[in-house]
Amino acid sequence: MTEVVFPSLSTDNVQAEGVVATWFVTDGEHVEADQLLAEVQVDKVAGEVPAPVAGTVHLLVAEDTAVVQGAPIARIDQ
Amino acid sequence: MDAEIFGRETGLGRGRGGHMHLFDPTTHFSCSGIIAEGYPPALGQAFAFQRRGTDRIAVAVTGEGAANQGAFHESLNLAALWRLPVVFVVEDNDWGISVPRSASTSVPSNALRGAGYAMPAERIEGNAVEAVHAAASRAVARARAGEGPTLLEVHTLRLWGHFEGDAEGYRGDLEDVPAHDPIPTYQATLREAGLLDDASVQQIAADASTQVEDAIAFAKDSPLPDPAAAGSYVFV
Amino acid sequence: MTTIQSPVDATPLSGHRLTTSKAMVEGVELEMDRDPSVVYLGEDVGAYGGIFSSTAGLLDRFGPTRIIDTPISETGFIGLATGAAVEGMRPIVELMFADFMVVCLDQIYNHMAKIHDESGGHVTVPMVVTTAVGGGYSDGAQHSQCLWGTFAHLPGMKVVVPSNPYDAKGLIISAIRDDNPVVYMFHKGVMGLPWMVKNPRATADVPAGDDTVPIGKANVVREGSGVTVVTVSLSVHRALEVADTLAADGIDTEVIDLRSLVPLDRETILRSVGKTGHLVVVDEDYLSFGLSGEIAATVTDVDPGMLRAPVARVANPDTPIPYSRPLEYAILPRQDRIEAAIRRTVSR
Repeated sequence: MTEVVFPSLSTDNVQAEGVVATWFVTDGEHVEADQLLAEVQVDKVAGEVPAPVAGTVHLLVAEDTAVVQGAPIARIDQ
Repeated sequence: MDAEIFGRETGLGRGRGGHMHLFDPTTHFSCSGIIAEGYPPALGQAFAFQRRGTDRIAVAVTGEGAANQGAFHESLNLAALWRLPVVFVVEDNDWGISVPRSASTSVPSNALRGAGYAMPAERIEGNAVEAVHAAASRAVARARAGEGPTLLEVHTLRLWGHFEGDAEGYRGDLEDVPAHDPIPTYQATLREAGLLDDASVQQIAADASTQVEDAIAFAKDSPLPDPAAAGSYVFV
Repeated sequence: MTTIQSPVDATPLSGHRLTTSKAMVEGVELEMDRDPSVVYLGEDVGAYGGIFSSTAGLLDRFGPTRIIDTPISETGFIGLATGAAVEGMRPIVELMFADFMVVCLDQIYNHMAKIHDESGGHVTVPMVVTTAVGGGYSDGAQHSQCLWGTFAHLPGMKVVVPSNPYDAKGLIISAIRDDNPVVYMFHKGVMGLPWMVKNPRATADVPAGDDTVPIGKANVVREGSGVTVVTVSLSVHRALEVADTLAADGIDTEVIDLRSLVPLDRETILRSVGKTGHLVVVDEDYLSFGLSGEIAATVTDVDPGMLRAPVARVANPDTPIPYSRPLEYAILPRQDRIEAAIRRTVSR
């Protein structure tokens, strides 16, 4: 099992909260390594989250819900 | 070209463009009816030549009246910034249509504007063929060597009105015109150097006349375009 | 039930989910891979990836000789793209906001659009002008317009307006491959940008290959028998939402996404209105002298008898777009105005 965490986009404010703006995969979907999982946003900065490994992805947060940088947003079961 | 000016189907633009919108892709020649707006596409042609690694350059020509239009300034900046192989030629004949340069242009010479764009610039006085040729050669060499654009301002003379039928009532210098016509002046220079004599001058004039007359005859003999096809070339 | 009709000639959607902006980028990337003469020029298209993410990631992929940041010099660089196209390149040049067209209209209209015709077909200008359009986020009168009616009115350039990821990718590929100048207008509200209002229709499945969407062909995105809604861009999303609401009241709405304004798919419009007898046009451009009048004339030029009610036009009024949220929302063709227009039309 591999955790996928919210990336660190705001380095001045490590405690900043952001959101998953868009999930590009659905819960339970099989994903390949590097496949685009989500687009996230903190303040005005957007970032992409690729899958670190292949496997079955489970989404842990909904779109537009506040998430702290570094917190897990999904897990992939290999 | 003449066929296009006469609006014929055999013209450069099949009669669609006319005398202000001439395009000859075989020689990469074009002209535009909007003052100064021919400069930006010239930059694009230079851009394409440069990327292909050829030694082709673009020569973009306007009158001095165009040097106050936005497109002129944008083009100089962009060409200098990107070191495009362009030679900008401003023919300064002192007159826009009826307004003299002194009443339109904040600087006494557009060559001064080159400095504003970090571009070498020269003003060539005297309306002399060889001086212009030498300056142009320098500019072309710079462009081919990848050193970027040059602005050449050639001070010349308007021999006739801006358009056919222009009575030029606004000009006070008309009596000076014949004395400053560069062609008879250069002919005299070449004669003095022994490069031309009466026979060769007559031959040159006759050849030129024949070329023009043949072109006009071709144009007049050519068919006019079919009105039903007026919209045939809007899209490929 | 909402029926999303598959785009013409669709291959099975075995691709991936993308936002409209990412789909556009993917289309550009495929063509840039295929054809070295394709370059992308514009303001902030390099490291920034485009103000509305139209080139995100492309600088890393292709480098600064092909993804080129320009000075703020629209006349200069759009003219430059024209000249490069004349010499056989296929440049894509971005006009950051369609509102800026007036700064460089001479190069777009007197040069890019006219050169092929003026040269009697001897010179082609195979370029694409991409541009961001649309309002709804308080950017004011000079940064919120659509203006596709103005571009479409001027002969010599094709005009395409994708509303969704599949069409965004397919149309940019078609635009790049077209030998004519094509203006590609993407609404900021359909791009799926994380910093814009959330739009579920801005993300969808897109095939991974280089499937094209034909220029000049509209898409019936929802079939219906009661009323025809002809629209484009973000208004397609609004119309679909309204159509779902109206279905509960037994109003069966056919929604046509024009996708291209030049050439305009008049046949699809006529076939639909012939079936429903009722026409509502939704257009986020100005009401008068534009697209909505053209759609109405498309029907009346052929047979006004097709219509069982007057054509309803839901458009921006002839007003500069206001800044303040309630004012702006009042003038945009939003769901409330679309619903009212459809109800009024079918009641006659």
